[in-house]
Amino acid sequence: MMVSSMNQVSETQNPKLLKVDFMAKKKDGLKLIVDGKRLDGRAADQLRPVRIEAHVLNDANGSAYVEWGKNRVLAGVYGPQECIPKHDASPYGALIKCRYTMASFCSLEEHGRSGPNRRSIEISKVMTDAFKSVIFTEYYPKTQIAVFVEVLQSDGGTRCAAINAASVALVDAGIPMRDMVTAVAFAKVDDQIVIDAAKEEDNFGQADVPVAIGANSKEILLLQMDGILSKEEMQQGMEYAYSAAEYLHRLQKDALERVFTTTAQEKKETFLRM
Amino acid sequence: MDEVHASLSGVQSSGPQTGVTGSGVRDPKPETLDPRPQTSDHNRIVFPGDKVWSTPVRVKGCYVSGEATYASVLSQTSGDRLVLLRGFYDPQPGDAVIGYVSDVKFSGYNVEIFQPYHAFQSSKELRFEYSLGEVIIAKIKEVSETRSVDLEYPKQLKDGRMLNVEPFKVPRIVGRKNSMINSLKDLTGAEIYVGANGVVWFSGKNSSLVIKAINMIREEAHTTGLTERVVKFLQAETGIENYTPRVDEEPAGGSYSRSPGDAGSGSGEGRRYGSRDRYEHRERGGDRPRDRGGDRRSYKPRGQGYRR
Repeated sequence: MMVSSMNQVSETQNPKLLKVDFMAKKKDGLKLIVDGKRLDGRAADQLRPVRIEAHVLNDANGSAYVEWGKNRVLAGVYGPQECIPKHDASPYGALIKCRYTMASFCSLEEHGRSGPNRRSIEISKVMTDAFKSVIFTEYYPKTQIAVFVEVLQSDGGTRCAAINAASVALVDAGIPMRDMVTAVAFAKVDDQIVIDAAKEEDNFGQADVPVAIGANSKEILLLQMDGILSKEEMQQGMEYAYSAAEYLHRLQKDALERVFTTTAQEKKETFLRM
Repeated sequence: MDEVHASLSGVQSSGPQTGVTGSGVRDPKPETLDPRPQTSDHNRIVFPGDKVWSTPVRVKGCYVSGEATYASVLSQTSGDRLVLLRGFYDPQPGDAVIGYVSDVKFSGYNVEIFQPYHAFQSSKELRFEYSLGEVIIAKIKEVSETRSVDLEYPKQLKDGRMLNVEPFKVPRIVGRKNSMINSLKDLTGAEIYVGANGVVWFSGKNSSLVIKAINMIREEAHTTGLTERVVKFLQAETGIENYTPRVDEEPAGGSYSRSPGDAGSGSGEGRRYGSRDRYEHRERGGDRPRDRGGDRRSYKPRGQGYRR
């Protein structure tokens, strides 16, 4: 079918048109995997390119920045600090307060004001639970550890990017932890299990399973499932997730080590690149 | 496209793909760590959850699980020691801390020590009174189960500046056998006190140079040969030649050390913050004698910002 150049221009200029068009195509039976390749050319077991930088904020106790495909996530950790409100403070240990928010400009979809909504409250909650099981909270009674994660740009899989960023930021802050946390999602797309679903695969696929894994202990710290999978599909996905976690853990450690091996000039250039 | 994407199968087969420095740095084989490393140049960064030793060793920044020791904070092995690269202050009785009076109460003073712990200086056995905002150095008497800190032997620090540093970098600022702090004092002529809570208090004409030097120590805290470089830097700035870092025979108690010009700091045993210091206050004129007359009004602090 011939497409006029006029249409092409308007499609690329107006993102909303693009989205509507995609949905229509999906209805007409668009394949998300063609010849074993996904929409962005990846194989089923390929991650998007991931880049992690640690210690990017000056005033936070610890911070990290993660670029994961088109996702851009910034995490900052403050604490242990005085718990506010004070009646929340526990004499048994520090309170972990994760706050995941999406910037109002982070994606094509409307996100309105960037305050918490139903979805981000849920993600903040599951992140808090994941980190609760690795942080030695009992070392810091009557305090709180605040973890702020801001999604600057989203393209599917932001909660996993957020957990990876928060994990690096917590280590950078010097919070004592049993283990580092890595997270990755697998999905079922066109009856096939793929790792690290991008936005379209997430929206139009059959299932999406974000997993957070203790990097050394291999404990599962978060497991959510949206969709239906068979036992075999789940096993295949977890296999992917475990090897992806190993790779991500290496990137996380690399980012933290670079804080000490790079010179001041190199650090400056890193900031400029961001 | 395939090149930029990290293939999982590729990771498994070809090992680390990006930025791994040298062999054995990142993923040391268990046998290189077992038993504890003996060579002093065997330095590697360990991350939370990494196995450090296969024997149970209870040191700061580690936890023991089963028979092995694992790191809990980012640190670096140095021979058979573990040097923390990150961490928070863990208050211990005997530590000297610096803070300011944040609240004046009937029974004593709340002291802000820039840590998530509540510090209190009782006025019970105190011959002096302090007011809001005054800077004091005091010794930790007791740490409660919920990390409330009781202070003793306070001493007012007057006409100086405070600088917050990361508490885990305090050992570098003091140096081995006080070599770093002595060099700072000798070359800048400043009076410097370092609190274990990461507060550096200093006074003197050369304060901007002190700040520069301390920031230099902060930025390069994880490197070796730091004292020589700081001395070289200070010599270049001040023009003082032929200086060798002065070391003290006895390591100072905690992280607390005194200025060379300070009275009573001549011998090593005097370095511990003891009862003797309390009587020096009056001569120095730093602290006001406490009014023991029982007049309640005398407890009213004179600083700004007082609220009932």
